[in-house]
Amino acid sequence: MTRIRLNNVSKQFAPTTNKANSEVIEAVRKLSLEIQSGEFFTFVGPSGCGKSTALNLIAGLEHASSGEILFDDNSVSQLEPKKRDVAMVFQSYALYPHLTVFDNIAFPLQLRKVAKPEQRSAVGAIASKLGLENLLERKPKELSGGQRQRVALARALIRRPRVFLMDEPLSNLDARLRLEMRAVIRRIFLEEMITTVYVTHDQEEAMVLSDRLAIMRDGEIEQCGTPLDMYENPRTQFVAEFIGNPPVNMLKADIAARLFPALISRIGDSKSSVNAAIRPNLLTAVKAPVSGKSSSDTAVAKLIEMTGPDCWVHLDYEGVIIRARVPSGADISAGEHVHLEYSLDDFIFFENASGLRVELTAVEN
Amino acid sequence: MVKRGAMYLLLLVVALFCTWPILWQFITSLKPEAELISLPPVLPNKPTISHYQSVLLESSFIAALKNSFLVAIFTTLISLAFGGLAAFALAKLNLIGSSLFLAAILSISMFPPIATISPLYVLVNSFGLRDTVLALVGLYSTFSLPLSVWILTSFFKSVPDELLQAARVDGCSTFQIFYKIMLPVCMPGLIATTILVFIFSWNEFLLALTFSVTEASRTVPVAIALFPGLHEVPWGEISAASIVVTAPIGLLVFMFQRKIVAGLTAGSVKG
Amino acid sequence: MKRFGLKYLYLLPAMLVLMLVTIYPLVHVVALSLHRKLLIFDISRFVGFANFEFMLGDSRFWTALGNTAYFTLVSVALELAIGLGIALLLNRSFKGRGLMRSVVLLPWAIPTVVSAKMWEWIYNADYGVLNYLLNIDINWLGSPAWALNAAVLMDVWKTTPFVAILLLAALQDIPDDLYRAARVDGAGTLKILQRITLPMILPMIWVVVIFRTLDAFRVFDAVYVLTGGGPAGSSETLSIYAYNLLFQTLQFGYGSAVALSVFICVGLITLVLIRAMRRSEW
Repeated sequence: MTRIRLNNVSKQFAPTTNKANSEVIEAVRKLSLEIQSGEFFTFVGPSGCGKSTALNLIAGLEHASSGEILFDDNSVSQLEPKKRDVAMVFQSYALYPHLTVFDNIAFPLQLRKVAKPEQRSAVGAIASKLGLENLLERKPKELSGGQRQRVALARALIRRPRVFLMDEPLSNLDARLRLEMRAVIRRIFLEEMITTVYVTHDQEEAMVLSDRLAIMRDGEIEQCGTPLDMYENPRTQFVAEFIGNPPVNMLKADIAARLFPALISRIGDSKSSVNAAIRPNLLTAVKAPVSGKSSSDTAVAKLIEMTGPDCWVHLDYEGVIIRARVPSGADISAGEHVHLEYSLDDFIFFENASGLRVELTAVEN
Repeated sequence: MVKRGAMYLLLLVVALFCTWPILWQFITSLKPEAELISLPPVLPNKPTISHYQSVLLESSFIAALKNSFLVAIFTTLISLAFGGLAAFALAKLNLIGSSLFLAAILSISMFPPIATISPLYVLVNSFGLRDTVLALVGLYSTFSLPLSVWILTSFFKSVPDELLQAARVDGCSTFQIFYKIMLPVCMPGLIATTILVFIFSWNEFLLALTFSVTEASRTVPVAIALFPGLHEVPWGEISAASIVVTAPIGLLVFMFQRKIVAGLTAGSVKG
Repeated sequence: MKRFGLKYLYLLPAMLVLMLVTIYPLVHVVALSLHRKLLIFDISRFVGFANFEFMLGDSRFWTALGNTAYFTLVSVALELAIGLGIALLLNRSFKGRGLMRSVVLLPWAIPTVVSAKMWEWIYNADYGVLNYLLNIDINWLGSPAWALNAAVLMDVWKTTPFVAILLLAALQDIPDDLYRAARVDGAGTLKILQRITLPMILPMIWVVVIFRTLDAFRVFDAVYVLTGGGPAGSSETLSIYAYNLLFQTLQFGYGSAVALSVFICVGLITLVLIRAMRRSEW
């Protein structure tokens, strides 16, 4: 079990030689964080945010331009991957096409000159854990996407590395397999208890898998915490908008105050400088307001989305689209005028200019 | 249907265009001496293998065949080894100025061998290597190096970076990545390059003519060009010899047509 | 940093041999061309640009240059035209494509010397099959009017396949959807050729033209074995002239100057062609 610490780690990439207008790119900027031993930690963010670079730096595939990386208080900054004892799973699986499944899985052991019988028993054990027993003689091109991913996992796990790294391992799978493999990854993690660093652009995947996650943006960590904490207490507008599906409703304060009259008591004079956010599942679309609950002005239903267990409606209010939940049994169809039930305490606010969370308490009118 | 018929007819014409001189050479090689100097008949009345016998019993021709094989095999080995290492660095090690180096290699491959043949003559003589197989191997290895580097670089570049990263994380050193991953994964590219370099050194004439003086280093193309004839030009034997040296190349072409095309295309497409 | 330098070691063997066998000789040939050097008399004297001045007044040099230019221009033009035709034909779907490609590759793969000998026999004035088939009586290799053209014809036979195979590869890279879209948009066969096919393979056409032009301009073995440069120098190319100067009359200084002129011409042609390629649009 290994604890990972990053101290002020930065990584710049030299401009590519054949492009005239390119500048030095800073992929990761002054990254500091601590990943606990035995923790499942995820870097999540949009493409180009630096999450893969952060992973490569931990792996040793890239070397930091400045700062320090420590495994259990020992600096590994200058070590090659092979000296760091890490294992990694890649988006494209990166299986060796010329080797059989057996040799792919045994490859790390062969490089370390492990004796043949031990190789066989280790491969056998990991293969049965991942359901690969009958595929060991095949070549990677004869496997399905899900099978390839299992082989990649097996190859990474076989030598029980100090740290287990995964770079978008599920992105190439179709939706169904992705759910299945998600469960496999979580199960394996719980069995092995190896410190795991995971990279994905899919916030849902990050939420489901991780003990803690860091949302990255432009090479910096925007917020770091448990999934629930990130969901309920986003520190910035970026985090609020990134996490959650369907995405949060983010409204300019003046529009919000017209649609939800009770908000006036919170927003007061800061109408032009803040945004109000509320999750779609906390808004209930109803045909007629029920007395005793806060109810909004009317908005026009534009689109109904039925996902099975849930039903969502897209509403148009002064040209802004708002998403809300349709309770089961409520028969709302496109074109109708509906009200939204809401609770004042479910709103959170962000400062327009900085994107930072602001607390607005009730003001007396 | 008419259109399809016309297409097959055209294909037949193209096939004939490409093969008829070789066929004619084959026919000639089977004609007895007397029939060589009369047309008609086009086809031999009494086919004979006597030309093949006399060519293959001729010790100088056998020596030339042996030299050609030696030169081609060693050239291929050296060219692929040096070219492979360089191509690996150029394709995957993020060298500063690698595209410049590739451009330089390409322009070297374009420049005419005649331009440097006089200094090479001086150089080879000063090493005392004139009329040796070794000199030809050395020169051919270098002259085919741009071809090897260029083709292999384009094959190596097509290997995804993630595969090499996986190997590094699994514990490979850079050199292990080269021979444990890169070479086996790029086997088709290696075969293509091998064949092209082999054909180059099997066929080369200018350098061979310049540096081989006697049977000790004479290769087949030179032997055929300087075919000994006492009185008349011995066309029957030349034809037989031509067929003999064409056979290995023809075999390669029919066996590895796909690989050759892949190699030629990789060599011509600029990155 | 250790990591940094180590990876350049992979280039080292290739660099070293290229330095020894191409870069160094290139420098040396320039030096040689500035000398009057006769191997048999052991004469070697610095003469500045005298060799080049002599070259400009050497009518045999100008004939060889003209022959080389003629050979290059005519053979590359014919190879491109015929090669394109063959490539378009082979791009259709038919049974035995692999076999057909092998057949087309054959002339390219056989030794140039062998093909020169084949054609020498085919061209033979007395017993040659060409005169017999065409039912004419031409002294192909023996008459100054025909010798160079005979060499061109042989080169066309030998190298058109290379052109065809490369163009075919480019044709096969054109996505099928493009043709289907053009057809749906109402383009006929000719319009498709003109508006889709040719523009799409234009980059490859340029590659082929550059490769072939440079290759044809330095032609040696094909012509040397077929005609020896004769009769009366009527088919002598620059490479052959340089070779004869160097190794028959052993004039290493002047021979190197002429050899260097091939290099300079090839360099100039490359520059012109690459400029033209950059500017070209279909």
